[in-house]
Amino acid sequence: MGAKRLRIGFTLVELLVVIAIIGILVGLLLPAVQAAREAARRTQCVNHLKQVSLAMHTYHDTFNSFPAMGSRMITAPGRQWHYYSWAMMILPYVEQKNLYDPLVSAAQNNGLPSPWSNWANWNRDLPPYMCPSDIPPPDRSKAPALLNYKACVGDDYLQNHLTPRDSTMPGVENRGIFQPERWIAMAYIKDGTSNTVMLGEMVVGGQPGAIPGGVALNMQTPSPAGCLARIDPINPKMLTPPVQDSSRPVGGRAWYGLPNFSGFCTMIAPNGPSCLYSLDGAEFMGAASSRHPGGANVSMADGSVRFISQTIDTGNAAALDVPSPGNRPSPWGVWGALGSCSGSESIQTP
Amino acid sequence: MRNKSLTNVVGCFLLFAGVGVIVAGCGKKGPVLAPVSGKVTLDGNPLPHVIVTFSPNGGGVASSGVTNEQGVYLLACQLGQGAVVGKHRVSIQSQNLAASAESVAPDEDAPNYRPDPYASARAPAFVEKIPARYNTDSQLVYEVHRGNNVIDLELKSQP
Repeated sequence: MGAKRLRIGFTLVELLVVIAIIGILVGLLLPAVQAAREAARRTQCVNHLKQVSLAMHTYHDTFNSFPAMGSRMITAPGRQWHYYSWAMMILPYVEQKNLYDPLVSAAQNNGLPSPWSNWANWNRDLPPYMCPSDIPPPDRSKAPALLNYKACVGDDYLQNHLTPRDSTMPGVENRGIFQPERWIAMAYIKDGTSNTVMLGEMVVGGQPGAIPGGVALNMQTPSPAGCLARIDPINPKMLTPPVQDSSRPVGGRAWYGLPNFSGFCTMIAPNGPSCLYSLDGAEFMGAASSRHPGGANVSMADGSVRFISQTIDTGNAAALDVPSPGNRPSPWGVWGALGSCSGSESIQTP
Repeated sequence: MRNKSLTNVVGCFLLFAGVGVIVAGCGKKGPVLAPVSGKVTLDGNPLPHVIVTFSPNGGGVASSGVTNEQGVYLLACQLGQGAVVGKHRVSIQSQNLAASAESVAPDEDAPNYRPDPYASARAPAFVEKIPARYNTDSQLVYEVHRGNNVIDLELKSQP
């Protein structure tokens, strides 16, 4: 055992140092890999949004108007009616005619089941309607089909189902392209099809009270501030109660044509909170949202897809919505102006 | 000789760690938020259950908060606690507490359930009790600075 013993192997310090270096390298690499995976999912998500937007245009080519957000049809048990969504009406144009035909024959014979019921023909998660970045809702008991892409009702949500077709009450026209029981043609979009939002992303939700994805019930003031005030100041990722329960995820009922399940509005910036004013699912101040970092994708009425930052200008959040806003310029900044289809402001996407 | 190689290895380790810290620090971006709170009074009396909103003058994410029984509010927005640093238009709105009787959605599986399109049209219209110069016509401008902000809002019923 001399002083010049030949060492074989590594010392403990060397081993630890190598492990530390490898750890640091992996730590640097892992976020990059995750970001690359998210970028791939986002590209696919944009592609699905584009497909649905083109299907809207094909529908317009066939019927000379965009589909209504929801169409009133007879429901099988009890002969009541419900609103059935635009996502159902464009099925033949997203290559799903084999799914569409049994719905038509059911509607013509006994009527369709209610749009959240557990019916074999309802239980379809169609890939073109889903964004791969999103996570499915935990409770699927009353959520038969997922829908990540919502129709834009404009910078407007108050009484946004009171359509002019109703003879008993004064009619109200939405500011955007879509509304239950209203079919509008492209000529109606006076701000220009490149400057008006047609569809937008929204996470399917189902986690009660989460931002994004949750819905605050019983909003008290008809301004975006009334919904922003429902953000919990102690934990800003959550809404203050009361909130919608897990059985009604916003993106879980693709065939239901009420704004709560197939629409959104452009009053609150993407990834902001969503609120209901009345509780039947029609007066929905729903914000666009996504699991992509920094914002959400929307498609314009010309079919182009844009990414909207969550810090987009939303103007005066305290401005009140009124039942009949008419063609006033939007008080809710660039985002509000992009939602209206004839607000006399042809603002382009930033 | 052995000590020197150890120093080299430790030096390399520190270099990598430093690069790692720098790279990790570059990830976060977006608007700078600062905490904002304060007390709202009307003619000197605390104003409970009203919505305080800060809308950035240069455009951007607005922050809101609701006052408690003592009239104290705390702002938050979807990006986090507080408000974006910079000048804001400030408005104070009341809440229509008459509408709060119902807070549970109707039972949609009841045999005769259908959406009621006219429920809100029949409900009492929203009435703003705070003067319009504090909300829809508000000219109040406050600046949010970096660091803690305490902004007390003293409203007067007569101009």
